[in-house]
Amino acid sequence: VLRSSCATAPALILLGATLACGGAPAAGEVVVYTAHDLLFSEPILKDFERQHGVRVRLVGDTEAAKTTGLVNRLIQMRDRPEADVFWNNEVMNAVRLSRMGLVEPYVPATAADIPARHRDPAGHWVGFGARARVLLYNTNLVPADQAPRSIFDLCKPALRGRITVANPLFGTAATHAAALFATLGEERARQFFLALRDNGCRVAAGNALARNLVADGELAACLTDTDDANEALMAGKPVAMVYPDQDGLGALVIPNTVLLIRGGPHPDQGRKLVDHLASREVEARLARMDSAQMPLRPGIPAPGRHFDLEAIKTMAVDWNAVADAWPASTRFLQETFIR
Amino acid sequence: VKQVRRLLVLLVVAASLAPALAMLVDSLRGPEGWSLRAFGDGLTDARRLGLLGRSVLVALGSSALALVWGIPVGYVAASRSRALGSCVETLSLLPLLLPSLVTALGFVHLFGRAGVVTVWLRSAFDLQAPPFDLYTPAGAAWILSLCNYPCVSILAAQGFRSIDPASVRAARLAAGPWQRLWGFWRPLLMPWLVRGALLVFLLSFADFGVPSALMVNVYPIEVFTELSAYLDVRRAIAVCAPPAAVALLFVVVALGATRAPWPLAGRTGNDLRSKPWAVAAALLVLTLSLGLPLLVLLWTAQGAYGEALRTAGEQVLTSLRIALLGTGMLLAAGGVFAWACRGLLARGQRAAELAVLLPLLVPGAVVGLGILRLVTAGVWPFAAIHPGEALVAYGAAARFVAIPALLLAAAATSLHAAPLDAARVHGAGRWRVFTGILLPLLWPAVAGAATLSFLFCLGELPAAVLVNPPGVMTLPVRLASLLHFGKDALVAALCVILCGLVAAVLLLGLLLTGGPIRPRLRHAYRAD
Repeated sequence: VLRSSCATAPALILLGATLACGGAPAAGEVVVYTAHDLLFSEPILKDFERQHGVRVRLVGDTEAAKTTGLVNRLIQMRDRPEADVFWNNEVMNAVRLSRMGLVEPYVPATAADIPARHRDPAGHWVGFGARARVLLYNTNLVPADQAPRSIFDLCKPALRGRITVANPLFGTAATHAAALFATLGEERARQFFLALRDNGCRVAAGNALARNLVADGELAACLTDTDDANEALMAGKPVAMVYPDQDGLGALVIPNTVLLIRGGPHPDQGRKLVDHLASREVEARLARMDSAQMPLRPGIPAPGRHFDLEAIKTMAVDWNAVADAWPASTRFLQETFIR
Repeated sequence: VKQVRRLLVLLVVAASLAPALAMLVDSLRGPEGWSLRAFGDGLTDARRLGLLGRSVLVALGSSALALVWGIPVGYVAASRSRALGSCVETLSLLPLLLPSLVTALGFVHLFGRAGVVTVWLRSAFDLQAPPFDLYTPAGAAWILSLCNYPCVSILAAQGFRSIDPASVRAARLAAGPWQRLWGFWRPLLMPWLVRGALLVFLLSFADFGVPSALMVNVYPIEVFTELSAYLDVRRAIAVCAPPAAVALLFVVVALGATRAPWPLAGRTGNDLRSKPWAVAAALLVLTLSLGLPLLVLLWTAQGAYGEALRTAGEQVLTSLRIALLGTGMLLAAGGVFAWACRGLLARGQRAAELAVLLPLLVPGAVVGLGILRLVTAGVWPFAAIHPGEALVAYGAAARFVAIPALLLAAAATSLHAAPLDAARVHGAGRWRVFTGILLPLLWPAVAGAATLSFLFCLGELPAAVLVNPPGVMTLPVRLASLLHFGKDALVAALCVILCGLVAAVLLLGLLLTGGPIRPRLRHAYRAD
């Protein structure tokens, strides 16, 4: 057995290596990088394959493991782009990639009815299907009358040492922080985050982990995203979700964004896919999925009464201003929380 | 010939470090030309030093605990009770299969503030506060040690096997238990244990998943911040410098502390009795490292196995394929390294060991980005095999080359030349000598190296997510994506399937080969 294994192993490895060496992407296909959860992006991309006869080759990301992910891959491959389309699950990196010149301006015809505030005026990106930043609290640990209603309530002594936020340097938590810097002003935003830290706020690895800590009763309250909160609600966990600051700042809404990559190998198929993702049908489909992505267009049924954008007050943000505030907010939060 | 051997060592190390070197060159060569600007201010401010100190503490604690877990497991694995030893060795490798984040979440489920065990203890003993706090550096060290201790146990087992049974009997006759422990076992096992503990130290030092799950800030977050928050690759490389220097210092000190670069090998095989205390300790370790996490996973999976296979069946196969390819690469590199080390003097061997540990100091994301850099620069063979699964396998192999290299080099350098020479004198060709004598003599080490390589390749995430070809996804990437959306049942089911699959493969290997850890030749010769 040993001898025959020795003889066949190198042959098998060579065969494997030959099979494993790839070639250039073929025509009639499109390469899409997606930061959106694969559970929900895959069915939509399969629909596109069926409708247009274009094979979709997908590259996914992992927010939970905090890998550097798709944005760094796009930057690193800028001289030899392999992606045609980037389906991002937030806005900030879309703006940053646009500023780096990696994005081909393209305004999909299907996006005409998306409100203007969710589209880039220069046509670099278009938003669709959004999440919002929400407060989540454990109903066994926090009585309803003491539930936080504002992000500033997280700084109150009643919740001291029992709160968590996802790492504010990454993902939607970072976008939220930069948006607060842009909206409240640097000084007030700094005061808020310092108060949060001084109130014993723990930094979780991601929004899902922050949600788990609250849903499992480890901590009392957190800031997270609607899709994470919905998962806990669907699982029947003892939690309640609150849109923060409904009589003040409003809740931050963060749409998905889709971008056409400059110099991608299949520009025509890429445009088709951008058209598809920005379409009304995709927004409606995303709304029906468990991630409860809220449609930006009026007239599309919301995922449920808890997730109706028209029923909540949203934070007014200028994404370019948020991108400008990003470096200062990140540096400050790194110094404040990562020590 | 010595020059050739040195060159081969350099070649293996250079092939593994190629992506990191590409990134280093990039970080030194900015738009303004060559400069050390990225390595300038701020790298050693108080905050960063604090994070670095905590990382060192976590890694040291993890290494110390891994020694506690690994020694009894290694002892039982190497004992003459063949069935028990094989089972313990096989099961002890399985914790490497579970993503460390999953293990951490499993422990939170049991021992967290609202964990099952914590709640029971609080109600049973009427405790006001939880009896333990997992969310501390000590908690992170505890979990990391349970994730990484197989590196110690497999080397400890090799160490126990390398000891001549005659000297064990002589020691029993001549000395009491404590004298034997200090004067006999300690010096003979020290080189193996130090290397095992070093591997655990380096793996724990670079880990980000477990500390972040337990909300413990450690230094690797700084590298991710530069990459993910600032998108600044140059600065990220510079930020890697302080921990790399510290880790290197530990490696040098640890290797310097072991007197002999490689322990002398006695007869392969021994007649160690499986002592009740060792069996009990090994079972306790297996329960903690595998039993409890598996229990939580089985509980959580709740029959989601069918859905798991439908959702990620393709990724399971892809990962197995890539892991096999990576294992092939690692065994080839490890084999070349071992052969080259065999002919070097002690100082050269120690330098080679130090060099081959360097790739473990490079964060996975930097390896992934470095590969992409080599691809875009058109460097052969990276550009030629892009996009392909071979690149993903290479990413894993480049990170973990130290593991098979150390195992194989330890076995190869302790091998006596006499049986090989005798075979050649009797007319055996090179292939016959290799398959008939060399490989059977090295088989325990080869099997151990292959198994560890396979497991590490199977679980590789940060480099894979950057270099996997469009349309191809490995299981860890899928698992991480599912974890994000809180599909706990699916993740648990996939982990259980993976454990079952690999345990079956390992046990099949045992049946086919008569045991990966059992030498086929009972009598080798003592090295000079």
